[in-house]
Amino acid sequence: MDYMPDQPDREQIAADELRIGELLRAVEAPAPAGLQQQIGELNEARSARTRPRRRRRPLIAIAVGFAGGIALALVLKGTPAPAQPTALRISTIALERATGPAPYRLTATGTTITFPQWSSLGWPSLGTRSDSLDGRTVTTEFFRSYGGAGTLGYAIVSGTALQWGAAGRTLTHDGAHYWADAHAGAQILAWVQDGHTCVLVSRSASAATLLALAAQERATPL
Amino acid sequence: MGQLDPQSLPGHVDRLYRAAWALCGSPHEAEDLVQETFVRVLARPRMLRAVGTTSQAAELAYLMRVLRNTFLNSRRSASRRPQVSATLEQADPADPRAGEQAEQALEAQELYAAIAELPEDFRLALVAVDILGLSYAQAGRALGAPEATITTRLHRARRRVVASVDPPTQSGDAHQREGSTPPRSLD
Repeated sequence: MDYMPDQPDREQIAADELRIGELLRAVEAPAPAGLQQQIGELNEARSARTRPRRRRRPLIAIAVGFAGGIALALVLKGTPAPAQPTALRISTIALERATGPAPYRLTATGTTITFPQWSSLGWPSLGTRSDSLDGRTVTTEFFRSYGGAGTLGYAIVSGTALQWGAAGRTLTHDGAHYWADAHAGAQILAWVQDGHTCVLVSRSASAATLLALAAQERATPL
Repeated sequence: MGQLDPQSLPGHVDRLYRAAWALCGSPHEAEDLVQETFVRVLARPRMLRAVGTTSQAAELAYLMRVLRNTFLNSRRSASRRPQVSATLEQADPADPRAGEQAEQALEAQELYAAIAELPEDFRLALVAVDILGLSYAQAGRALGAPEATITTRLHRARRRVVASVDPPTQSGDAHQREGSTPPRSLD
């Protein structure tokens, strides 16, 4: 243990204050761009939640009218409908940022599946988001590792099970079937539970970790 | 009393990120800590006590309080988690950004690691005053300690960090005690 005098002299105190200021200024750097963007998105989502409804109605009407016009134009032109969502497409949503706070307990919209409590495994909840994709609701909960393994997104999709995607591989673990892929620097693991597609995705956690968590989730009675 | 303006929050992200880094000693954890702090702050409207201070200082003091609580909660939860998580973590790859650290980031890592090594009370005082820029009184209110206590903790925290980053040399120790320019620089 270093010797620390109880009453350092005034010169020493002043010198330390100057030196600390000097050291901190030398390493002053902005927060990572990803974090800045994420905070901006959180703020934007909050603004959208608190915006007065009276002002939103005309915007919704305009948006609905605009979307209807586009849909009609597409039908008239004979343009093919967009491809059905796949687990791969869902994984891109699950890599987005949370827009809502961590829930106490969350059931995915349009399903009876309740998201797991992984804090006891070192992965507490970080937040949630909800998206619509081709008429389906994608409910995502995000988890953060205490052990420095970053974050992961767990998305559950309403409606019938989706196609996996073009690439990837299927695997069996503890008698359950999964689809696994690595895409754009992220590990993706998907499976079907109660007839709905579930997708776990992370840019930092390994495929083994995703599989261990998914297996834990499926072993836990809901 | 005034309400926290969410539109002003992005302006505090840089300082809060550096504060979080110094608290936990890891840039990666700092990102998560800041994100969690903002998720909590933005969950509902917040009232600020801004008596005798600017709104920016009141916002920073409030953010410091939430950051501290979030940090302490995460540490408590981490200490309670069972061993199984350690097994899962072992399967994870190293931080992919580790190899891309620039020289400044390495210096920052060294300095923030020295701060993160401080006892918790010392660390919080240094983060509140020297990194977030709060006054001693604001830091005292944010951390729930008398101003005089913050002053003492801050002096001791600075002494330890300077001693850690600028190890004394045979001639440099006496030189430093006179308050002159230290022998080593991170500039």
